[in-house]
Amino acid sequence: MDAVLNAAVDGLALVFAWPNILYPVIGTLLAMTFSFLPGVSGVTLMALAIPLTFGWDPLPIVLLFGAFMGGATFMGSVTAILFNVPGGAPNAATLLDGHPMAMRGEAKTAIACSAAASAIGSTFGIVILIALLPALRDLILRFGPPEFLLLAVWGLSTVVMVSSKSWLKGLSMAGIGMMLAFVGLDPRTAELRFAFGTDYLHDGLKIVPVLLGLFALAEMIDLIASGRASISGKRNAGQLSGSTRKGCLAPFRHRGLMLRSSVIGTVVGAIPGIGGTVAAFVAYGHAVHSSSEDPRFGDGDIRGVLAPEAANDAKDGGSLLPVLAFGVPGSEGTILLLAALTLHGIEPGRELLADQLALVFALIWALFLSNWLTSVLGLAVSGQFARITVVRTEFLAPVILSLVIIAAIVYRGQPIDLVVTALFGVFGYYLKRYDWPRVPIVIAFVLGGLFETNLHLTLQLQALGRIDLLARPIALVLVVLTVGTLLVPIIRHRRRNRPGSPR
Amino acid sequence: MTRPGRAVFTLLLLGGALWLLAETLTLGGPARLAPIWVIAPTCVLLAILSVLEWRSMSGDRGSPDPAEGRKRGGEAPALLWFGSLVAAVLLAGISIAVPLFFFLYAGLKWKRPWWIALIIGAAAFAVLYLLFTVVLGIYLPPGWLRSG
Repeated sequence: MDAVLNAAVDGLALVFAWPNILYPVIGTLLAMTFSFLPGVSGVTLMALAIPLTFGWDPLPIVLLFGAFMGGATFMGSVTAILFNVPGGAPNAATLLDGHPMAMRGEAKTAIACSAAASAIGSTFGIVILIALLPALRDLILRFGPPEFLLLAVWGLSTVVMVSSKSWLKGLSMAGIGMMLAFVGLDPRTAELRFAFGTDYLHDGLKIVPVLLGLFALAEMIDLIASGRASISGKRNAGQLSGSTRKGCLAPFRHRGLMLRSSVIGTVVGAIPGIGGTVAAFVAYGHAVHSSSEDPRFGDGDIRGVLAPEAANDAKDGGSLLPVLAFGVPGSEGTILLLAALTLHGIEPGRELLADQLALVFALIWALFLSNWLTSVLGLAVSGQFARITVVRTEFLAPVILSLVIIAAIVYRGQPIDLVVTALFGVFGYYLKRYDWPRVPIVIAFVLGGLFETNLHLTLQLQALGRIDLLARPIALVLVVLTVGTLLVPIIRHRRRNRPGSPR
Repeated sequence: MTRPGRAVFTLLLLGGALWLLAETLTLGGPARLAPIWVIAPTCVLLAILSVLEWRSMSGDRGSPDPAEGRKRGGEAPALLWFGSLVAAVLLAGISIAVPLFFFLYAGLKWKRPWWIALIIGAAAFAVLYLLFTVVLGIYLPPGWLRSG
């Protein structure tokens, strides 16, 4: 443990040495700016930076890419809160309560809470990562196809949490989302499914057009069609009721939830191939489970912003573990990080963790610094961001509409992506209009591929007699968590509706 | 009143799910394993929801909601503007369609004089060109008409 702490201190000294500190600062500012531009995410920035950084020393690369990873995460939640447009799939959990807060004129509170939860969550994530480093390494190695399958099922079970108004509708939308994930080549036989004679669908549907259509376009069409004066329905910023102080204090008022969401984010984020989506939704589900006092989830409860944001930022630290320890990336961002590291002669594995631990910690500290920097800047400009919610619809809607359409095309340079985005936009609009939940589609779409691949592998292992569930404690824990996630809301609902129970 | 709309939308979803079920049944054994486990219960759920919607529709013959009436009034123009922009981007490319959209929107919806609308359109073109082409070096597809 002493070696780990020494390396942590050495890494910190490397980051704050002049001019090294410039790399995480510039990287963070670039990532924040880029992730607010249409179609240009933090991942795009990393892809653009790889060829530009050939010939650099390993340390600046590590600092810059760590900052890129941290800087982009927070901005996705800002657009989710303001426009109901998640920057990425993990931010879809934030919009469930963040956007209703913005519509009530409390965007400032929601953004401040998101910023504070991000900073504190990332801090918890890194502390937990350092403390659990040896145990997490062992835990990851114990994950096989049955555990991945059950983890996907656990993530899918959170659909019940996000469809509190109608479970039937939520589950059927999850079914539609899973079917969208099955489009393209079958992972086992390579048989083409649901491509309907088009080449475009051979590789399956991509998450960006689906998200842009279901949320961004649908929201803008709805905003114009509804005739609302502005997102918040207010005419000037003086009518907004949000408070930065209230948002900043929320993580301290709900410190237990904050800590538990951070642990969820770190542990789930450390499992390769799962990413922040499961972490954010599981944390949201946990917030709903654990709330007893006056819950308003889905209608703008601040805990619904706090929990997913804490988990989403805490997972950044955890997601580095499989990349650095085994060279196994879990997301597009970590794939590009891995590419940048190996191109510059940094080979992930036991040697990296043993011989270059200070460099590893420099990456972790850059990520940490970036998370704090984005949060401080986010807090500083939360009032300005909140003002967007009073911009008149007739001015805001065409600008956002154009930005979304540009994003859909710029994303891969393929006009057909725009057609898909537009179709999902109209579909999303009617889903919203007729009160069908859209978030279950995203959860199921993201987890569908993981579910199917590991279902096939698990069945093959089962056929070979290689699975003994009782000898797999992680699988048993996941089964218990899934059953708990599904049963607790039903039990609560029954208790609340029992005659004589307090409402 | 949106009850008929809701019920029709639910039926459309059920129709789509049944179509996917039919497609799934044409697949080979391993390829249809996961889809059949998913789409079959989805069809059942949607069928239940369709029945519930139709039953509630027949029991709900109240007066129309004025807010919903306004929403319907704004829906057709919103979809028209959106559809036109998408079609224009596909045909003429972003760099022409988006400035044209702003020019027309400023003139027709914002009711600005045409010379101001022209300036807004030109500004949109300048921002697009400078940001994506000059600064970021990102390729903007020219649209089906211009690419031949």
